[in-house]
Amino acid sequence: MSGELFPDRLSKRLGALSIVTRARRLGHHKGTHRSSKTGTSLDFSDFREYHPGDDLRHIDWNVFARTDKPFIKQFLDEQEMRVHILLDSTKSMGIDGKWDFARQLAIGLGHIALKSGDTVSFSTWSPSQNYFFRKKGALHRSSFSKYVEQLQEPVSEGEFADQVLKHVPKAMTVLFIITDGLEQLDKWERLFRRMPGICKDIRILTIHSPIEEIPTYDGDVRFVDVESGSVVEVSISQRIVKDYKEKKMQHEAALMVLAKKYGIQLLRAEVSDGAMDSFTKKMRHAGWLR
Amino acid sequence: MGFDQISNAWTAIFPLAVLLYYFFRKKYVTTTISSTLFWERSMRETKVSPYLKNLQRNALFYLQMAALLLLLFILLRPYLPKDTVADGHTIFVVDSSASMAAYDGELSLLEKSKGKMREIAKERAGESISIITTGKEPSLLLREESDERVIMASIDGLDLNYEHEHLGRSLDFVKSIASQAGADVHIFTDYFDRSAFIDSESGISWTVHNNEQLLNNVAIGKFGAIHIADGTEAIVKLLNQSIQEQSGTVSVHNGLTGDKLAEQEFSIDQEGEALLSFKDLPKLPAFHLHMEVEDDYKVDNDAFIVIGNESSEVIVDNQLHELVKRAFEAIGLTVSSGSVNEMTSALNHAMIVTNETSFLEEGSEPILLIGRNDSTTEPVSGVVETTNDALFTIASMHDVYISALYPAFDGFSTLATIDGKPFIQRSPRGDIIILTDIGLTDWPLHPSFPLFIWSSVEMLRSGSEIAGTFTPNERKALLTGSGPEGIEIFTVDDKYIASYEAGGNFVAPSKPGIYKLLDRGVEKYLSVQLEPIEKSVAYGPGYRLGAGPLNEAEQEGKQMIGWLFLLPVLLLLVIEWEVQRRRGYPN
Repeated sequence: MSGELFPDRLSKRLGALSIVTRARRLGHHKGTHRSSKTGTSLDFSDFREYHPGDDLRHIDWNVFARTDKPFIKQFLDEQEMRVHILLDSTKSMGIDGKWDFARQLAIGLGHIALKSGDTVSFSTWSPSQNYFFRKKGALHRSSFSKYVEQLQEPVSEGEFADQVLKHVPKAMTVLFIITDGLEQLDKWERLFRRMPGICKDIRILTIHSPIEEIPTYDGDVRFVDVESGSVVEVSISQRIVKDYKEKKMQHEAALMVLAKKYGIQLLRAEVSDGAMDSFTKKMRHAGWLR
Repeated sequence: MGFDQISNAWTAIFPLAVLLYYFFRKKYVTTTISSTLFWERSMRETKVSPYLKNLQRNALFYLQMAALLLLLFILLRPYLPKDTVADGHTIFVVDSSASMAAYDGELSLLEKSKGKMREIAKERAGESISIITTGKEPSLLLREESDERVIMASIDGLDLNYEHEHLGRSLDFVKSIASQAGADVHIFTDYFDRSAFIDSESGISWTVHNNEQLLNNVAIGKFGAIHIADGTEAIVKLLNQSIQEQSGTVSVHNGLTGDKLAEQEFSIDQEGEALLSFKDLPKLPAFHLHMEVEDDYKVDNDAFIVIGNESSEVIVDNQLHELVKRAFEAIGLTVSSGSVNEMTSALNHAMIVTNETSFLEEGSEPILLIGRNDSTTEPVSGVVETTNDALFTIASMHDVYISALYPAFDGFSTLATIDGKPFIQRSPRGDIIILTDIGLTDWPLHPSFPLFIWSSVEMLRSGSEIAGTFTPNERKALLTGSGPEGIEIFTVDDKYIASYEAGGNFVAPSKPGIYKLLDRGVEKYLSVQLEPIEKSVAYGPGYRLGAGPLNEAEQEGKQMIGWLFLLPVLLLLVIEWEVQRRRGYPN
């Protein structure tokens, strides 16, 4: 199973990508992402005049010899990013291949971040246990893959949006939330209102399965909600399907608007697209990856 | 068990179709989905009203309730008022008396009635129709027949039987066959009065189709003829029932050959009478009177008569036992007791019952001789033994005790003997001789005594070549031998009419005329005459009577509409099914 879920070739194709963020807040450790601050990397940034109090070791003596003025030679600073991936593990994610797809996305994002030498943390939960993973560096890619692959089918109760905050660590550079977004808008809004305080760069990936996009049910169907268990009996007709699609579109549009309002990026990921296309096309187009 | 409308069995398709539909109905597919968020919303729109929601939730209950209520409603047999009784049973009572042969314009009353019947039958195609013809013995031509072809054929085949209609009997008949279900009765006659409906049955509505116009009619009211010494005299009474003067001719014909014997012209005032007499007619057994006149009713323009000894008067010798006179009275004859002188004077127009042997030689008609006044009895003992004579066909003499007998007449045929000695004899002239006194026997105690007297009277009368005068279809026992050939009836032109095994079953022909009766090779004549009441055509307005016994007003019938509600019930069942299908079984 592990090999199938996220084969190595997929990992290799992701090698060229890296996560783009404009967030100012980076990790404290040295990393591969150029910080806006000057730092101790090998890349030259610029010179500036010496002011008393500056470290004498940074004075560029060659320039002082030419100009008789002390200049401080500054280098670019490179710092790590702290990437957190939160996976929705409510039961609704277990339907129609969404769980595998979501884990593929999680592993892919984790690989991209780990390869850049960033700190990747991952969290999800089941009713009995909270899962948390944190590693830094490209070496840990395979262990991350394994960690995610060994996750059981999602069985979590309750609404995802209500429990997000408990599972997100502080001071994250980038927060990826992988969910199906099938919850009431007011729950999302309550969550979104509090999210910017935790992280500046939040990215939500909504997972959509093909059957949800275009229902192909026929005749009379009794729909059972996998989470709440509520039952809706529907005699499928064109009108009903059209209605359904409209409702779904409205919901998604409203969620998008809500996210935008709170500065949260939201991207649709469809199971039918496949994980690779989601990375190489959708996320790059959205400017999430480079 | 039987099925009245087996053809409706095709409706079994409906339940079978429903059954099949159930067999092949789709199962509810249960599908687990991520969220019913959007589906639920799509359903919510129809759940706006709480009443509607209640209705939805309890749809099955309401539908079943409605179906049950409708079925209850149907069981109550709802109906709408309707002009006619739509009970489905229509009875035609058709007057088949001679007066229905009267012409009103182009068609006879009977033909007109047939037309009306056809119309009604066509209107009520599919409903059951009975047809009754009138008469002393009403007959049921059709009983609750619903096949239109059979009904039409029956109506076409209706014919007159010339007999008086006796509608009262027919109505009793109708009441007996329609007493339970009720019916729409249509009476086709010349005139039938409302007063006959005093004790009308409920549930039966009557429609009387009377002849509504006064028809011109001149009738032969009476036609009498009598043989006199050298010929026949006839007298004719004509009645004019029309409101204008009528004239024509009356001719007398030989009843057997049809030769015209005499002719007279006549003229009668409106609603008047005329008497015509014919003298010097030849001495013939039968006459036919024909009247040539312009009127609407032809049947009574002919009259027939056969002349014979038709006297019903009996003179019993006052020397005979009182019980003899009683016996004659018991069989309905006019009896008087008389002396020898009285008997002598009445010799030719009354039947003589005496013990005076001299009467055997006097007069022309045979007599009944009981005992002999010119001899004395000798004791006898033994059982009465009878020959196979017509006299004893209904009167069995075996257990009669006779104590003594008179000596027998020589040369007379012996009909019964006791101990080898003649007991009853018949003379060559036809006289019947009983060779004992009633007082010497216990015969009057036996039922055979009046029967024997009746047989004797019939026998004495039948000595002539006349069988009698009958009304159409009159049922009358004739005293004939129990021979194997029975009796046969022919017209005067020797056209076969009917045959009867025994005289007891005899029914006169229906059409007025003169007929021949053939009994053991002996030819006799009989005439069939219209009853006087049939010689006029009554008229009056038609009317309708409802079912109420006191309420003579038109009553409205009922149109059953219960079946109309079966369709909604069916619809409800279909809806129920659909609801059940969508809901699934409650769990």
